Amino acid sequence: MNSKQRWQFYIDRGGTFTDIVGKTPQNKIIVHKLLSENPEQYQDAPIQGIRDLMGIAPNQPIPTAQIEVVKMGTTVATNALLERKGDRVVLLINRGFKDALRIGYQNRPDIFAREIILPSMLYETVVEIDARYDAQGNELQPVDTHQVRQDLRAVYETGISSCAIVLLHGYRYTNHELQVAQIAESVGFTQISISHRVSPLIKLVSRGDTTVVDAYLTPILRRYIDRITHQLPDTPLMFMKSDGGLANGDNFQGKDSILSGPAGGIVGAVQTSQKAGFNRIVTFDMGGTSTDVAHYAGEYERELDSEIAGARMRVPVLAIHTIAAGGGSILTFDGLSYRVGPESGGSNPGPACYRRGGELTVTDANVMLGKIQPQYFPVVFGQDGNQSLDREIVKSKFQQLTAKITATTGNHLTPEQVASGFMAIAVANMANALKKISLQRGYDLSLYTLCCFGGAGAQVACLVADNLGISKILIHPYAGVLSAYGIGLADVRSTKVMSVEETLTPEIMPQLKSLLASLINTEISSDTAVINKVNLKYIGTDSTLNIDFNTDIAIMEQNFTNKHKTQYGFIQPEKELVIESVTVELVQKMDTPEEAIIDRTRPLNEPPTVIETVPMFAADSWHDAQVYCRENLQPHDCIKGAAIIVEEISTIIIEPDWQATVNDHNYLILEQISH
Amino acid sequence: MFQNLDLNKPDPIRLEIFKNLYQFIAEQMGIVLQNTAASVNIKERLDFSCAIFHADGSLVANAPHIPVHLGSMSASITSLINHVQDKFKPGDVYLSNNPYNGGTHLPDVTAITPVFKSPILEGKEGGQKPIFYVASRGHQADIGGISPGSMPPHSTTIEEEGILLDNFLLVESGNFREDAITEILTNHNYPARNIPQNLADFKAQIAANNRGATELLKMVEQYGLETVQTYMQFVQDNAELAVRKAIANLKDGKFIYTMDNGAQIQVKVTIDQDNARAAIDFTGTSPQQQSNFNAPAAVTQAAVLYVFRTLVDDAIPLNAGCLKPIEIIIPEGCMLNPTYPAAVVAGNVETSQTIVDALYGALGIMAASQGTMNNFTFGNQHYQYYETICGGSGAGNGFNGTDAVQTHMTNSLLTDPEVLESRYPVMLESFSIRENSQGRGQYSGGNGVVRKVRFLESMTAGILSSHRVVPPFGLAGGTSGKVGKSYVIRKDQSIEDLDSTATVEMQPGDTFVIETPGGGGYGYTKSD
Repeated sequence: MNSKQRWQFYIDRGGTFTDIVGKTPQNKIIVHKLLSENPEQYQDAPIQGIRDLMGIAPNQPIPTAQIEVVKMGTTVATNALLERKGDRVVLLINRGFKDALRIGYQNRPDIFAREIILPSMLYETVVEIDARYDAQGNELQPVDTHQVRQDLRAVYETGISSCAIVLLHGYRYTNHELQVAQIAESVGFTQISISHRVSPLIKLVSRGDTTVVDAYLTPILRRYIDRITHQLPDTPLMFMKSDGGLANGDNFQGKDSILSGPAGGIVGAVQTSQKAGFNRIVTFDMGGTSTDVAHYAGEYERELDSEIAGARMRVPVLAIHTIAAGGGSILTFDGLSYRVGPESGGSNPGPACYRRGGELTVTDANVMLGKIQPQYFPVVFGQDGNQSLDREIVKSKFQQLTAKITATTGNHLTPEQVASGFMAIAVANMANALKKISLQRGYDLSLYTLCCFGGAGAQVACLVADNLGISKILIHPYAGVLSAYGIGLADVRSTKVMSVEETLTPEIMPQLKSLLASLINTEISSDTAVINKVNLKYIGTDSTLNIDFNTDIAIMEQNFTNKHKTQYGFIQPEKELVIESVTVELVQKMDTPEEAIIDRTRPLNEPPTVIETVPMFAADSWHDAQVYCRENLQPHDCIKGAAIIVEEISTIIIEPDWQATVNDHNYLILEQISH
Repeated sequence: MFQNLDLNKPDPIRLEIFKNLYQFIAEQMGIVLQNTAASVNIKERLDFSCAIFHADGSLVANAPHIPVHLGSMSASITSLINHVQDKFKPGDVYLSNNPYNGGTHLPDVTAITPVFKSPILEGKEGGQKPIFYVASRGHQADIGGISPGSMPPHSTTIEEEGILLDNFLLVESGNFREDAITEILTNHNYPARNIPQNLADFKAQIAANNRGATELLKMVEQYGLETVQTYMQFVQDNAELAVRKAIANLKDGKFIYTMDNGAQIQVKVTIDQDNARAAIDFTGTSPQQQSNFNAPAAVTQAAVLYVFRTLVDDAIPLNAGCLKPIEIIIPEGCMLNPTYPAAVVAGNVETSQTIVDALYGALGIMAASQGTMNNFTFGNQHYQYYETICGGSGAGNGFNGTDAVQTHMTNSLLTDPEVLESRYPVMLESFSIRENSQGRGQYSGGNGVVRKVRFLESMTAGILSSHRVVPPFGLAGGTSGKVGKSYVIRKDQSIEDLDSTATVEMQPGDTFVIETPGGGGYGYTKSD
């Protein structure tokens, strides 16, 4: 059967919702959204979603022969990490270092806390191994295999079957780790994570943490994948990795899974923006409790060191920055000033308008301002799940708050002025966080386009852009499910990293070349691109920059110098360059959906239908905002603010001084109208 | 939406936005400094801070990564204003590290930039006055003195600790005075060892200040000078109120804490409930010491600010307002207010920890932490290395202390074991939690650590530490934590015990062992 005639599914299984994008045998894109957990109705949201889209009755088997591939991003492992619900793990580390990961780099997370609370460790117990290499690879003490076997048996008998092997200088001198792994296997351990395979880079603590995370989460992922495979036998299954590439189900490991969900969103934003001709974007994905942002200026930006849920990770991941503010951030008045967050109403009880007794949040402020119109939101609230958002409770709570503020300060304000004051603070906080991230990387944000997707982002995008001096915003037709769509647009990638820690000189070139070649240990097909990179730093420093490999050293030096100048504003020509590590990335392009050109069917001079006109409070006054339905919009339509565009799953606010146009691919482009 | 609001009282929306903006400007300065600095101390250990100041020199916002930098630049600014008077010109930048005049210790050099409304000098000198000041403080890798790194364990005068910069004009009307600064760094009994690096870091500090100035001027353009300056005042009032609320929950108390060298810190806290004010009186503290454990007044002020900040369970801005309801009395010539030429290098890293614990003791808030930073150095002509080592934190009413963690005035990171062994000829034999070193009680303190470093080459090693003699106290019936100890195991297995401060010649095969103190316990142990 021709692949063009079969189904493809791209699935983002998030904490609350599972989004599914299906490509039909007729090459049509259809989207679907369902609750991730709904045990009364179905066992697995992704499987149920596939059934729904294919129209398969509950008692019928899924005709897997009609499915070409299923690509998934999943937060299963991320949630297990956050909730500390992974498998039981034993850490195997050199004698004298049983506390090395607990002590870590010895800093505390909050410098002003009297009670110091450190993240809990993921391993349950530690076995110290008698074995030691020095930094140059001299074996100071061989592995005491007899003792190791005895100790591992004892641990195995307590029911632990997952182990993390982390030995000093093991990133480079691997024999001891391999010896211990062999013993663990013979004892019966089923998950053996070895530090030099998980992350072959210097730094005991962060490599160790990464290895423990891998041992902790991989078994959970395996069980999850097995369950899906069982229901979709013989169907190729691929997973989204934290670095923005896809991996086959068999190769998907715990260490690569933490950002599986958000990575899809970045890939979706980047790929779709490029198709629309935007090459410099800031992605903006605002959710209930947090907002994810990332930069793109021609290539995916990755970072080697990150910290997620208290675990220091040392594997390449997309550089995604999370701001602790979202639609659920709680609004309070402390007697002197308005405060937004840091507390969040989360999804339960959620904002006050969700009818679950929640406090006022950013989302409620938008209800108060008329930017969220309950009649266009799903009717899923209230005790029986059949009511709309509660506008009345929002009004009454803002009236109470306004009375309190008036009584305290003597300022006479209207409730909508109070709501808009809170919004000004929320927007400023978010813009400050974005500016800080771009300043750290040496970017000028005003040259970028804001690519907005996810639930709540389009409600505030114009205001955030105004604050940042950004004049263009891009909203894709599948913005509501862009993570899932992005998973469908991703390439298959595998990245191999190897530590070098040598000075960059012409003499090292032969060694470097053979090292790069040795990292490609599989047959590569003709459609696979090989990208070689070196991570360079000035000697004696830790600030590594990722540079394209070139056989001409001068070119690499020049590229490093340029990048250093851009990011740090200075160079140190007197210092030698050190190659910290090399990476080889294998990229295999996938057959991805085309973006269809949409034809305008309405005459050019006929504007889209205004569904109704509602009052909206913006720029300190009430406006008559016209409400449009997203699906009625066609290429060349232009809508001037103040206006509201409603979609099934989100609301787009066009502020006064902004306008929205639709391009040939049905993208919505918001632009500031210059005066 | 902000037009025509009166400036007699703060508008609650604008107050929050401005509070965040001032803080954000200080943070932006920090990012520029971290990005453009060349030295590892600033770039990777984050031993720096940046701040913005009102035209009267009072602190408006700062963004420290390490508490000992808290608010400690204010005195440097005030001193500079008194010194220069009305001779500031646009494009000037001053340098200061004077410990008797707002500085902490010599390696912490502050660059101060006056900010003018217009960058062009109008008419003659004194034509216009600065509307704000911005400043950045960074820990220099070396500022001269008798030992590389400028942290000598046994200095007795300030000269032995390095070069003293007292309101030195580094940039005059935009011209970097390279010759003049090079002269000062060179012409000294113990000159600076790496002047190009000093100059590079000074330039990074200037760049950070420029960022702060630019951002402040942007605010002035958007909101008007009067509004920006008035809200600087309101933001300080806001912080003052938060600290007053915290003071209302405190009780009078006093405490005497003896140090290993026999000197004592005496503090008496008197709470005026009616006016929500606190007086903190260090009268009775030992006089200026012959050693380098003297702590400049700015260090004591930072310690006080830190303690009061930890008593407020909210992310309040750290500015001059926090100190307004607090009166700090430090008799001149005592070890917490030393005069020239007292040595001070350990005041910042050791005595500061003792001051904090004494304050918590007087307030009855929590038991002592390890009370030291365990400053460990080693080196020879090829290598120089410096680290501070964690220990146990103290318990309080309702919570246990924490094992093996940086406490109070420091939070600096430790070099990874593999990086340490790759860069230096040493081997880390073990690094583990020191079991049973914590104080006991209803709530137990945290344990210290044991760190064993074996030397593979001949080197000089030094330890600058506290609580090797006096144990970290327990509170409200809790017992004290164990004292720390340092010793050398020679290659032949003989053991040499070391004092709190010591310098030792290490030979290949010798092992330096540091056992750090545990934190004190809180409350009587409940018997079954």
